[in-house]
Amino acid sequence: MERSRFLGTVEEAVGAATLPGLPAPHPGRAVPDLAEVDLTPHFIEAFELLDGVVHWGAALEVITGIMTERGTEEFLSWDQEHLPADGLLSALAERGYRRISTTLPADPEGRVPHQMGYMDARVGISAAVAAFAESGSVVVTSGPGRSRLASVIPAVHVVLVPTDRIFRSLSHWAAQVESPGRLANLMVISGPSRTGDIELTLTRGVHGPGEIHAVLLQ
Amino acid sequence: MGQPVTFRRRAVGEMGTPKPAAVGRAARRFMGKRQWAIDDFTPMEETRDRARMIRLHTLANLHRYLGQFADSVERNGGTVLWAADAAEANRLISEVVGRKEGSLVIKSKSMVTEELDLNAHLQGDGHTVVETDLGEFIVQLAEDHPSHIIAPVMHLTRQDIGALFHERLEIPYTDDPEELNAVARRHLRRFFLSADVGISGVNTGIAETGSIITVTNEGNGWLTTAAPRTHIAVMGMERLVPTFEDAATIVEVLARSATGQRLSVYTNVVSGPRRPGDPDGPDEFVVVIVDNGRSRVLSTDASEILACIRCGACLNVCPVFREVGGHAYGQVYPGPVGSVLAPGLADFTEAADLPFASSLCGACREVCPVRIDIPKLLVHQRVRAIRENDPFRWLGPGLKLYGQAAKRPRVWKSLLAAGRVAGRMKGRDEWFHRLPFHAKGWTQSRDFPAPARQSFRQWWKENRDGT
Ligand code: SF4
Repeated sequence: MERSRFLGTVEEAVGAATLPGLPAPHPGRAVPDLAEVDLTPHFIEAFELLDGVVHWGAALEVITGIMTERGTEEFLSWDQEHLPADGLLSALAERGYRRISTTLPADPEGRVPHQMGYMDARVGISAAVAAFAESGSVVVTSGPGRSRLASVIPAVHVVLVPTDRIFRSLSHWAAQVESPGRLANLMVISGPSRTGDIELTLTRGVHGPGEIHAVLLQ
Repeated sequence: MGQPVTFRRRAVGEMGTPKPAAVGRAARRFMGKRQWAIDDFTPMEETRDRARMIRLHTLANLHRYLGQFADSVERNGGTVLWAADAAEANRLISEVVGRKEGSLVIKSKSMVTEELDLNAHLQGDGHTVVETDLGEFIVQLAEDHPSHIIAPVMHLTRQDIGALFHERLEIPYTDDPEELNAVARRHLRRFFLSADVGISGVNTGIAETGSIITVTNEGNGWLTTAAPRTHIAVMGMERLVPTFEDAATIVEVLARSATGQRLSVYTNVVSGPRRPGDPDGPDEFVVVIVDNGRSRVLSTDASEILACIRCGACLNVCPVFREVGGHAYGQVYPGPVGSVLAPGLADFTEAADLPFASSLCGACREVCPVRIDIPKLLVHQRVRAIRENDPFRWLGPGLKLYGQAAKRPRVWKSLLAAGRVAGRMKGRDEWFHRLPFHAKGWTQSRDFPAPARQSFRQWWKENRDGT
């Protein structure tokens, strides 16, 4: 249907609608007014409540530990320049770990064969552009050098979290962030993937990672 | 919530991980420094009021925000298609999917595509459609219909699911939820990575940024929108808010109300196809905006129901829903919200009985995060049903029976009694199969017997009293 006809029908319906509280003003911007405090302990508490695992610094040791535990030598990752831990990827390479490329080939036909190469990826590394103390969430985005699938495909997600990126909550951050539509994807992750679909029994890792590790960096 | 020992054990590295920074140590380092309770961050009652205002404001200006939304999507490099009804929506989606013959389509749960019966349509066109939400995947294996907005397989036991997986996926029988989960993960992973098209619903669209949000706990919403070359987002036209900040308020309220989480595990904000330089993501982003009766609902005195954010809370508290389950409603949207919405969306006569499937106890209004006065809207719909549908005028007595049912401790008992009385009134037993619990979906998997003319309870009472 033509856009104009569709919207014309909607406009007519809006005119006839008997909504409560008309003219229904927008509530305006929420102006959070709370004192400046250290949000890090709140984030840690909320993140652990979701069964996230918190580490302090030492990203390389955390990641090699997980790789050993999982018996894998391969991982998915963002590019080094987007990871707030200098030299992490080269240090991993020196220790014999192999990064699976997450850059799709230019030929669209190459997408599926390339992505099938992630089937057995067990560890993914990315970084938080923001984190929320209230919900224990981390935010990852798309962008050059920042693969989406690196955070969602592997069984274990390791996310580097600079503590100065911790905000109170999603809505507090949303009130400050500039033009989120600029990035194709913005993902707010709150804990490991989970489902209650089988008799309401909580199980983890049904599609996304079953484990999430936050490495806090000052 | 309890933590399975196995997970915790793995997480803290008892299986041989060196412990460079053990769990909890970082946390303890900061304990005692907390300066306020976390619940203070988002004062719930105020936030609900905000959410309600945002939703009502959007509805009152819907045509403007839809126009702005479409402009923003196009600015981001996406395409917008407009569908007046289900047939048009299916046709438009089919055209996009059908650019490649025999496409593999992955879907993440959405009520709107259920409403369109999209899967059947795409399969009819020769495409393979895979539902990726664990619940819906199971439902699809069982060729069933979802019975609850949030947890679609509430009505299957894990033994049922184990047997189903055993039969359909040819794996050894197990009824361990963790194992069933792992089987589904392995099985579906292949589809995610190799699909041609991903179809998602839209929990909330954002007019200002042209973004769509999917909210899942499993991550299938994210995978569906991130892995395939084409992403089609199907959006009911009312599922919009003006700004990103507004959307944040909505998803915060939604998660708390739906499952008691502060946020769902994956709140996925998609704004168009991948940008130059992005290593992955879809090349193509299409939003299909669906009316399908919504403008009709908007123009009635039940318009407030379109403020619904699909949290499912009113279903969980509804005594009728709890007793009869989602399938009894015979519609995609069950429970109190569905009883108001469905008669508006569907041909009215098809679902005109639904507004009567409620005891008007008011629990739904109490729990609704956007404070929709559902009982009032149900009454509006009842009035309309009686006024507009001659064949249903006998529902007057039915209404009285529901009134009585609500006063009794065991609603189901009363509803059975109501069914029997009404069955006698109509002089035919099969009445119960059609009205007021349209039991189409249910009777496919579980036979739902028409109640006996006299229950044992009643028989016992009468015979005991008579002697
Ligand atoms: S009507 Fe209210 S309680 Fe029911 S699903 Fe919608 S938002 Fe939730």
